[in-house]
Amino acid sequence: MTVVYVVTLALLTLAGLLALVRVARGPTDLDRVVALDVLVVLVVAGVTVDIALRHESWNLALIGSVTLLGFLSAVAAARLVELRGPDRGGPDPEEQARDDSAGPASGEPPG
Amino acid sequence: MSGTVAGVATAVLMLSGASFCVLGAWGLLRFPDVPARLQAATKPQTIGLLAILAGAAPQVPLGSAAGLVLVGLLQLVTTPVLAIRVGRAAYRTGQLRRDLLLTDELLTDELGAGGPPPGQPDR
Amino acid sequence: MRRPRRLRAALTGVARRPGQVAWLWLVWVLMWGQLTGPTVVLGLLVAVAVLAAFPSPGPEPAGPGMPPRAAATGAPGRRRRWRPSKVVMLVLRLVADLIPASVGVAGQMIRLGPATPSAIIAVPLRAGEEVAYTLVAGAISLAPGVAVIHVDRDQGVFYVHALTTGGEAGVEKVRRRVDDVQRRVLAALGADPAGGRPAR
Repeated sequence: MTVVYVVTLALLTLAGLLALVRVARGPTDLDRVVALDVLVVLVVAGVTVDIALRHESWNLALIGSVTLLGFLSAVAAARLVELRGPDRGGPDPEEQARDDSAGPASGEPPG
Repeated sequence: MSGTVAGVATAVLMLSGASFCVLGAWGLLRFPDVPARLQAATKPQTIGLLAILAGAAPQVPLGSAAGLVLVGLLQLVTTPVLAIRVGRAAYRTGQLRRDLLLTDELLTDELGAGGPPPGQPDR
Repeated sequence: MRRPRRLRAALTGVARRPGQVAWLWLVWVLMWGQLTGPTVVLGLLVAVAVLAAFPSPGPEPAGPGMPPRAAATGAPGRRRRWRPSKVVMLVLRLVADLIPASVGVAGQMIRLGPATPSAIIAVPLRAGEEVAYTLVAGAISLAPGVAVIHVDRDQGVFYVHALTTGGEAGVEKVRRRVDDVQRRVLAALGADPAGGRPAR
């Protein structure tokens, strides 16, 4: 059974690292909001594994609250981005895609 | 409750749940724009979390399993709201790969109705 | 003697919303994890007290483009009673549908990649009340490849963002698939799937 928990946590950690790449890369703020919400869900999942292996549920209030707070924060951040209006959320995705495919020599860093 | 049936259930549920989370994070990296990444971020993660919660349920006393059900319900209830909010924010601020968009019926409808376009920059 | 009257008004308001009371009570009972007498009774009291102290606004009145039947039941002060049992059954059925849906979702994560085409598709809105189309949106959020992006009550349409791989024909297939989900949810709730706007 310990093996199961270790592998589960390892997989969750891997997912977390992938999500962190998206947080770092962006390119837009909404990308980061989305990736951070993924991280919140992964944290909740990890604490759930802890609950299972300890057979104790002291952390239930924690994961319940984190779920709600993570959701609220993501919605608030999305609202903020929406209110800021276009062109403030980050570089243009199409240009970004073209720049990415053209290679690293192609141009200035995004504003 | 640490019988073998419970153990097997926990193992299967937790490992599949974690795999779903990894698949979702993988999609998060690969998809081209915010709304697509949003789908990768919400659907597999919700499914994965529900599976992990269900996997933890046999390992704790019944009352605590009820708490796990609650967390699952909260996740199910909050995710659609989050998806529509972030999706709308992405649409309105133009964070959408228009070159990959087959059809945008929201834009056609809003322009047809004579209302203001939903705030995205002209292309 | 204003306070007793306000209290009575608040309590009648709460009595008109059994669904909300049921939900808050359920959250309480699940948190405590036991169905003992004190938990049940206290949960009910807390739920009623919270809803009386923080009343939620009623449903929005129906817009001009709403299907007539839905508009009639959407009038403020004449809310249709949603039996909580039907909602619970629907939620359970959605969770059961999760298994095939998750296979579809997993497949999409693996197959689709950086050049996936997508589409924003209009689907007629067949439900007048918020409870109904909220559940429809929830069901769609569990279906692979689609996500609700905007709901236009006045026009009776809602829009979904879909990861489409079938070109123009694929768009129509997605529209029909989402509409099917909507019809099934509404049928399970016992609401009449009203006509909505004519399909494009």
